[in-house]
Amino acid sequence: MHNLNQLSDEELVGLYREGNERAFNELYARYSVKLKKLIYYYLGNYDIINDILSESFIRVVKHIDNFNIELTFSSWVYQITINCCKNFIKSKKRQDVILEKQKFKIEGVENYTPSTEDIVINEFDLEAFNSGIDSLKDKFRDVFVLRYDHRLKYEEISRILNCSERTAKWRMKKAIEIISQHLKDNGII
Amino acid sequence: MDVNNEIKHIIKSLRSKKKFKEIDGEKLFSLFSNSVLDFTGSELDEDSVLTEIKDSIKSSDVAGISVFDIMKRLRWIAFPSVAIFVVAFFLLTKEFMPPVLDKAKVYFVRGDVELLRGNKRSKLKYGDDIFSGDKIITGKNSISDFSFNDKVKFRLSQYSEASISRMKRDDSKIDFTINMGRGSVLLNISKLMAVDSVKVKTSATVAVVRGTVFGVKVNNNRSVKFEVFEGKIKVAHRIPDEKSDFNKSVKVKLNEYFEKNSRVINKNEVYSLRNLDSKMLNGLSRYNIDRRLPGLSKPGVKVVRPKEFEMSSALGKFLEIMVKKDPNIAKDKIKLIEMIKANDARKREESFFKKWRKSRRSKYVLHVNKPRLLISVSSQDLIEASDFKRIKWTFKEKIRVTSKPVFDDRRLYFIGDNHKLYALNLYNGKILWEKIMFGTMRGNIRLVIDGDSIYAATSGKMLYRLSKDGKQNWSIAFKDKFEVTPIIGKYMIFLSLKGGKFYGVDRKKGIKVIKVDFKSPIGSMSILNNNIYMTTTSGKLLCYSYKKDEIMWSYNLKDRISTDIIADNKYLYIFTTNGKIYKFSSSGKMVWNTDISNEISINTMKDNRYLYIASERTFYIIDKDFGRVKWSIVLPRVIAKNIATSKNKVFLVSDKKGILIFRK
Repeated sequence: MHNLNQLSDEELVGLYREGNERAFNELYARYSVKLKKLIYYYLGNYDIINDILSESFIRVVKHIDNFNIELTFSSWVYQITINCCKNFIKSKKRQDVILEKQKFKIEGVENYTPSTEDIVINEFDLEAFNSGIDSLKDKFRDVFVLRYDHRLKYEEISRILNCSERTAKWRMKKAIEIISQHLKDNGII
Repeated sequence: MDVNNEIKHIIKSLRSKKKFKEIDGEKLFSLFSNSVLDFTGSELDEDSVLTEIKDSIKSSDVAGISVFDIMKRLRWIAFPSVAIFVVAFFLLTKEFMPPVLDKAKVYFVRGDVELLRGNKRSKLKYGDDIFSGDKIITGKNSISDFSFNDKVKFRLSQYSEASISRMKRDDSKIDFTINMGRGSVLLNISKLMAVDSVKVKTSATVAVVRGTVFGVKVNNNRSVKFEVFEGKIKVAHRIPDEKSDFNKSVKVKLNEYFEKNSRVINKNEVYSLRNLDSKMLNGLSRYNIDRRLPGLSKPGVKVVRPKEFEMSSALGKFLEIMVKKDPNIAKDKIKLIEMIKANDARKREESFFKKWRKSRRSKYVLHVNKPRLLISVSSQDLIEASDFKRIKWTFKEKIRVTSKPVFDDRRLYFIGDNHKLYALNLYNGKILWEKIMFGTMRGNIRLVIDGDSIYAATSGKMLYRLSKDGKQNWSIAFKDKFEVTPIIGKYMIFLSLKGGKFYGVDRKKGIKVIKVDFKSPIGSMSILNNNIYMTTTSGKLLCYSYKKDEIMWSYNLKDRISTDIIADNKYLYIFTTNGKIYKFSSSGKMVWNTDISNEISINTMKDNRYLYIASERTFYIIDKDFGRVKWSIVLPRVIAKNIATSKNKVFLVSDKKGILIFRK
């Protein structure tokens, strides 16, 4: 029996094609939380995350035989999820429904335990940081979220967002610049 | 490249730009590297989504595979699904339910405290649970303490009304918001994580909290007072609840404005945030907000001195109960309790001293440096010594004090109307010794002390020299009454008697050495470098050399002088009753003169730079070098016969406000 934890995404796809349902479970376990986060930051709404996530995975299953194992599964599944998100936004626009988009929320990392005074500063800093990310235009925010939060490579980001690597890198730099400007304007840095 | 390295690199390149040159690059990098995008993933049921996906696959042969294939694939998830189902079933039964964390416990109640839940009103009891949405109302002399997950402890004081608008705790964070309608709340918040949120809202303000101890009081005029005892909080105005129907963009801009004007209040600081007049926000819309925003007054923040802590006493008691209930939780608070108690005691003392000095109508006031005392001799001749906190001692003998008391490092001396010279212990007010004299003291004549003796020129025309332990060294009788306080030279004591008679008496032997008749009554005297400077009642200033026995120079001031001459470092300062002040050099040259046009009848005090002059209604500080009035202040009528000074303060006594203390 395969130790699924140790297999690559692409190997799991291969197993699933052969009928190994546990391989699908493993892929789901690996990507569900990441994709939920991505959906949340794309649509900014908790209520529809499950719908979009299930739709994305259904598409994955539907097109699994078309997936080119030579490519990375992660960028493929991200691409599918983002397309699902875009379709959802389009459909809502058609229905004239305005999505109540929640603000981004940043939190301190768990193992970071500053002194009492620092914590107070951090809270306010994080608030400003949040609003800085919130102020980004979609095209910058997409790259920022994929790179900063999902730690994807530019190669993958460029494939997911259908842009050049150079453009993705530039957008990331621009996003950091905009956030920094926002923090500077708020007297944080 | 690693993301952190990349961000570091980008920040570095940003800093090469002019507009980012001065940013705190380390902090910026720290923000990026020590933060993650928050996502409450646990709120979503992942397994149900997986089941849904598989159901969809199952129901609609989506991948173009046979039912058999799907069944074949699903066998791998059959066991986990059953296991998940069984676990979910047990978790959902009550026995396996985790304890409800979204509630606070009442752990202390005194007096009349009501709980309003929905439309139901009940009396709050010890041990009751409080949930989000509950409202608590305290009546007169009533208080109530609450604990939310041991992290947030708060006390509502009397006449308070508070509702808990958010109270939520899951495994990862705390979310607590209390809305204060009126009254005051004291909070003790344990150290929180960055994700935790604890807020205190009033109708128009919000305080954001990390770990801290502080109090919030909503005053009747809707202004809000924040007192921070530990840690720090951030306070800002917020959109009043009645204005919650603003357009979203208006809300965003207003919130940005409030955020911009927010203030961080540190430990031992008290801030009073003025009420935000909701009328100011009337008619705000997205079309006019940009125009009107600059016109909105900035939130008024009044800085109050820490000693004006209003809630500290209540906080001390609140913390004491907390320690009593659970010594482990609040061990660190014991120090704070002690500090608050000391602070309270100090406040009580200050308040007592203030009350005491305001009620004194002293005829003499004295400041003693060591021991530090403020001594008042009341018009009823009660002598009280205060150490600026409490009354240290009182001398209650029914004796009228006939002269301004004088003091050395251990004793206070005065002559009573019973013809006795008293020496009191400065530390406890007890009589050390008393000596019967012939006569009392009259007018402005005072006792004079030098290194080891005390001289008394009494109304009985006697001059006494006593040692400081009360032993009489000698006494001399004179034919006429003394006119002014004697002055002490190196070997002689100089006296002025009625009609302008002037004597020099040997200090050791008590023998009259000099006798001069100036033929004009002498008003005041002073000594400087073997010369006696005196003013006559006819308005002349004389310089008399007792060594040469001749008048060295004289100056006709043409004015009456009733206060002491001040001789200071080669210069003389003379104050006439009509309010003219003269500075003379010891050689008789007038350096400056100034006119304050107010009667000067109280002896002036001096220090290195200034003269402190009290007229009946105004107090002046005059520059000794140029004679300019540094500042002056109009006073209620001054009633004491003297001014007292310390290193930094000046003490006066007025009829309406008792002892007044001015910083120099």
